[in-house]
Amino acid sequence: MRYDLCCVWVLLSFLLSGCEKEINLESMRPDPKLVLNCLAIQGDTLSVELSRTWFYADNNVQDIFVSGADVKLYVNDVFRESLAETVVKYENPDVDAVLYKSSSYMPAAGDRIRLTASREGFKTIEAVTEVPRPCSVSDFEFEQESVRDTSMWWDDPYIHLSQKNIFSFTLHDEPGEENYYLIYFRRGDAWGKKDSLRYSWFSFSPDYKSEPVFAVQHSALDQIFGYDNIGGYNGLAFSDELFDGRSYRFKIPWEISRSYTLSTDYNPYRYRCYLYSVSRSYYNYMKTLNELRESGFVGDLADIGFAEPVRIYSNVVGGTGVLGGGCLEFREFTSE
Amino acid sequence: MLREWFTCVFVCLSCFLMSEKLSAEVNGVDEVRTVTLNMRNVSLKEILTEIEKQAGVTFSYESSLLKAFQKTSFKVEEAALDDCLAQLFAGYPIVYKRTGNVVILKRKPKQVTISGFVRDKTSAESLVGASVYEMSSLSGVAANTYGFFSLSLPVPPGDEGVPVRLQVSYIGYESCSFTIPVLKHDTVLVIGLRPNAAIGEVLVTASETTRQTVRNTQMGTLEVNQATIRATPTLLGEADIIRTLQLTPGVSAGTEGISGLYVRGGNADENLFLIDGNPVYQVNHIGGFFSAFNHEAIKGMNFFKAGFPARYGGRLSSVVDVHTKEGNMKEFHGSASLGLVSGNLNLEGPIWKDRTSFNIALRRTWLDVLTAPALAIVNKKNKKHGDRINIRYAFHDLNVRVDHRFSDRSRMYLSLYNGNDVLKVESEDFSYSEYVTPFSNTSNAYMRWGNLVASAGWTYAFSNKLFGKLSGFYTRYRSKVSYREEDISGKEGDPGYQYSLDETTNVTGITDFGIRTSFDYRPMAAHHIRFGGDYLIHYFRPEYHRMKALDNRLPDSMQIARTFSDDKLWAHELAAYAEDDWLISDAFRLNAGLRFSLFNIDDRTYMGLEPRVSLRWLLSPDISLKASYSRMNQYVHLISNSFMDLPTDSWVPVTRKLDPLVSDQVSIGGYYNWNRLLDFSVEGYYKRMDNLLEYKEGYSLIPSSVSWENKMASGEGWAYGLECMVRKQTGKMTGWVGYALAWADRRFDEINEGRRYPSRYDNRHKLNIVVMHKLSQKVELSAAWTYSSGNYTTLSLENYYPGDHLHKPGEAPSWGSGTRLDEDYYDGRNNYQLPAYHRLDLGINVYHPKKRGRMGIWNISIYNVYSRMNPILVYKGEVKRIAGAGDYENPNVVYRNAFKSIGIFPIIPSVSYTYKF
Repeated sequence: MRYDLCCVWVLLSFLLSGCEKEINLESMRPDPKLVLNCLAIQGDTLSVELSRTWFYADNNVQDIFVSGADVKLYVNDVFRESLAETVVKYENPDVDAVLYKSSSYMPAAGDRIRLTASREGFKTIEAVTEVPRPCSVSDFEFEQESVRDTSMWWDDPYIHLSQKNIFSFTLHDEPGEENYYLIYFRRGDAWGKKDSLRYSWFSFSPDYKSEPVFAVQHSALDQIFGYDNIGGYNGLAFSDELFDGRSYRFKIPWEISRSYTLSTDYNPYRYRCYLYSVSRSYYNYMKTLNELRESGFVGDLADIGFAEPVRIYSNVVGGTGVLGGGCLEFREFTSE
Repeated sequence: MLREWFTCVFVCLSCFLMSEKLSAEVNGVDEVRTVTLNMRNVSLKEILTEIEKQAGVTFSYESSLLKAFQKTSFKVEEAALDDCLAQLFAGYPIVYKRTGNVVILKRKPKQVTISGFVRDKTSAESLVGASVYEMSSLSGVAANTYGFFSLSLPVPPGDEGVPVRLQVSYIGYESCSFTIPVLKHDTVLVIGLRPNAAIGEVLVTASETTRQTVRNTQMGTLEVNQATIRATPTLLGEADIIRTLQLTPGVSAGTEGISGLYVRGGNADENLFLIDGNPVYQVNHIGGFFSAFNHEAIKGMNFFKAGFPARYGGRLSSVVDVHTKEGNMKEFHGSASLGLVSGNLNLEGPIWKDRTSFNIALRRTWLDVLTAPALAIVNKKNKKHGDRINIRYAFHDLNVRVDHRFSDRSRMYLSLYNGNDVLKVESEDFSYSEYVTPFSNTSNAYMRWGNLVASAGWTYAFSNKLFGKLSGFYTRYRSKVSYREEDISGKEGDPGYQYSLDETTNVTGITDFGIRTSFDYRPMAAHHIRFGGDYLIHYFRPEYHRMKALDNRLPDSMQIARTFSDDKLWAHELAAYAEDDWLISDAFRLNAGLRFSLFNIDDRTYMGLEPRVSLRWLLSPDISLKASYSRMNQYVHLISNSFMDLPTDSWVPVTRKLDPLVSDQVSIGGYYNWNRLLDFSVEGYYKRMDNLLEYKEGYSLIPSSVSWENKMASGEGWAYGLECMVRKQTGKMTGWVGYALAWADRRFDEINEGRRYPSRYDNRHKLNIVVMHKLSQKVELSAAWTYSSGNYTTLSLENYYPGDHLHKPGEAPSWGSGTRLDEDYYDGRNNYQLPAYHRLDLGINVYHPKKRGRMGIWNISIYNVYSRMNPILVYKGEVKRIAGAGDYENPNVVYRNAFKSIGIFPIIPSVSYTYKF
């Protein structure tokens, strides 16, 4: 009987053994690498953010931003300057970032920018990019259709506003070359007194999937498993492959609904559209980030070990990060 | 395209002419030694005399040699001496050898040929690979796929014939011996062997078959019969040829639970799966958990991983040649079985006794049979709430074969295989009594993927020495994934009527049709020549992607109905091969062959010349050494971005941008047969692969906006290692022990920064112990233990801050919502090796004989008996640093970052019941 119990205990211990175990990978601890992040925007001061990688199992890692580095700028293969170190306070999250800024150089379309960064204890890194031509865009249009319903709540009439918005523009793509773009939208919510309104800006995601150029990113398999949304909160990268050399009219809709009372002020939203032409490196970088963050069926398979994980693109040799080039086309418009 | 073909023909012709010219130049003098004869009704001696005069040569022969021949006529004009002699002696039993100016003539040794078919005596099924051995001359052959054999025996000079002691054996059958005191003429035999075990089929007796591993030239091969497949314990009790092969050295199983086959460092798409000689593209069900081969329809299979015979081509790493059952020509039989996942029905019998037979095997999952009525009840209940849902998943495999025997020499067959997976998910919200305005929101997801293979063939024994086969086939793999969402509100025509539709469809597929010919020719005892050719037309549809978005509230300009990609590619593949299995001496045997292939696509023709050589050196009757070299070309490949088999996986051809995949493999090995009981083998190999394809980093099959060719990176691979195996095929206890020490690497310019990295399934050590023991006439036990070094995986060890906030000038930098600030940094591809994998599976078959030869068989299998949770991945997680009763909301509980491994397959028991009649 005792023998039987022993057998049962052994069997149960096998059956109930955990499927999750901690693994100590201290023996694989790598040396940290420099991380260079920079987007050279036409007409804007060049600013380089320099940080480092850290071992995942480390907790409460400090000094992620790297100070005391020698960051050199070369433009069209000619040394221009060593960038000056400054500390900038980031708000979200609350960190002090170390940036290296150029004193006078402002990127121009067609410039070939090379950056090197070195600091004791790290491998020297290098990255190259070109600043693309500005986008050729025309016919920006913002259409809005509003429907208001009123209902009573206690004695206060409530107004329910439904708005259908369509933002359109025509992009004239250069034929015979690969062009890359990035788009994102921000919405400004007003606050403060009517005569001194201030706006807080938030990223929002219009209905990108209604636009074929963006919708093609999803397969039926993604839809079946519920991955049919396109967020693009931090920017959506796309290429000219579907409209190479043509003028293509984008139509990006979104809907909002909000409620307000007559006793409170109605402050319409403001919208900003950022449209960049970007270098191939920045496109690849943003594209892999989009893929990683918005996952998809195959992305989730990677999370459970059934597919190769998505790796964020990097053109930084010796370290990681990105050096990209871009030209901004910016529009702001106000809701009715 | 015509120009390419013309160039190809021109180059071949030029090479041929050059070689002819070179040959002539080497022979020098022979260029002027021409002979012109026009002699009528003269003796052979007179002709020789005239040749001596014209060519300045002397014939040397026994005086009695020419006496037996009658007068003849002979005519040649300006013929080279060798051509003239070849033409002259073609009709005489004379062989000649020329040395300078002397031509020696000898009598051609007389030989008799004994040929025929080896079949199962009870069902008349052909026995593939049966051993036919002549004990006096110590020469033997193996029957081909259709049971045909041909054995030529030399007749000693001066004798009328030759005494023959023939032993015919096949594993699982009683051996059969024939004695023919004096065989004078070529003879055809139809040999029937009787199964030697009434219950079960594992108990076999020793025979000459067991020594074939030592005696033939083949390396890296394995022959597995249905009994072994059925006895091997597997996941959920589904007998599976791929899972049986996973238990052999040199084969990596891939990710746990998946029927993966990664042979000697190769990829999943580098295995040529053939059903009755025709390729099958999709070989798995449910993402790879079950293979598409129904064991009830299978007679046996041959597996090759090195020293590929020239008759096989088109894949780099292995050939799995599956032979289906022909059907019983004498009486009706069948079986029905039910397992945890599927049910199986098999029927066979004569349509016309001893002439025509059929075999039908159907396997189908039955879970949806239970879910359908359950959902119907739920839907009926929910109807009043306006909900309806329907989910159905099923797979099936249907094998049908009809064989007809016109005569012992002539036979034809029809073979059909159809296997599909179907997944349907439908849901609907609709208005019910409380709603005034009718509405319905429906969504339908549909996936269907699978194969259809149909073929018809005719086999004919043209003579005692020549056997041929002609077949035509059609094979299709197609996958369709679609999603449709439809919202309707109101009635059509009413002012408030709203209608919207979103539909996405993805299709991928490949269709082949063509003809094949193959011939077995045994001109003499020492040579076994095989030759033939294939012509295939491929029709590829790599990716079709269509999207439709309609909404009656939006303007026409915003209605979308668009096909993003719909590539259709036609390709032609032509292959011709010849191989000779040549017994050079008692000790040396050579299998040399050449395969020539052409692949034409997109106005470009690729040409492949694939030499294959295998040499055997027999040190003693039971010990041999072998060496082989083989080159393989591959013109189609599978692109997949997961380690599973998904319906989005796509078979695509090589193109103008992507060159054919090529592998070169060299193997050497030693083989020993101990007492006709145990086969020992040790094989070493080195394989190099070129033009391998992988997705570039950051690309996947979808989105379709980037042409699939541009998403692929081309690179190279290496695999080398040592494999040892001991196999026992006879007696109450059978099985094998296999060990492999292996390396497999990859290198792509555009992956891993161009650095070489280990292949995902670079399992350094792999040990398999498989034992099947027949405890009694009614009980059979089986056990399989697997140990292998862990798979490689790409693991991020570090994190870093990304820079995706950089394009927001003038705003506070933000990393999205602030919940996740950092991203994973990957230093290298496949940089981490998972812990070692091991597992024990057990199985028991209990046979219950019933009346009139019927039988019930219970099978109980236990997968992963000691419930080892083998890790399938390592991920970045958290563990509690300070213990406390609470969770994330408790400020006293602190978590720390930690790497964690996860395993998903515990102990899984299963049971199935089979009823044979």
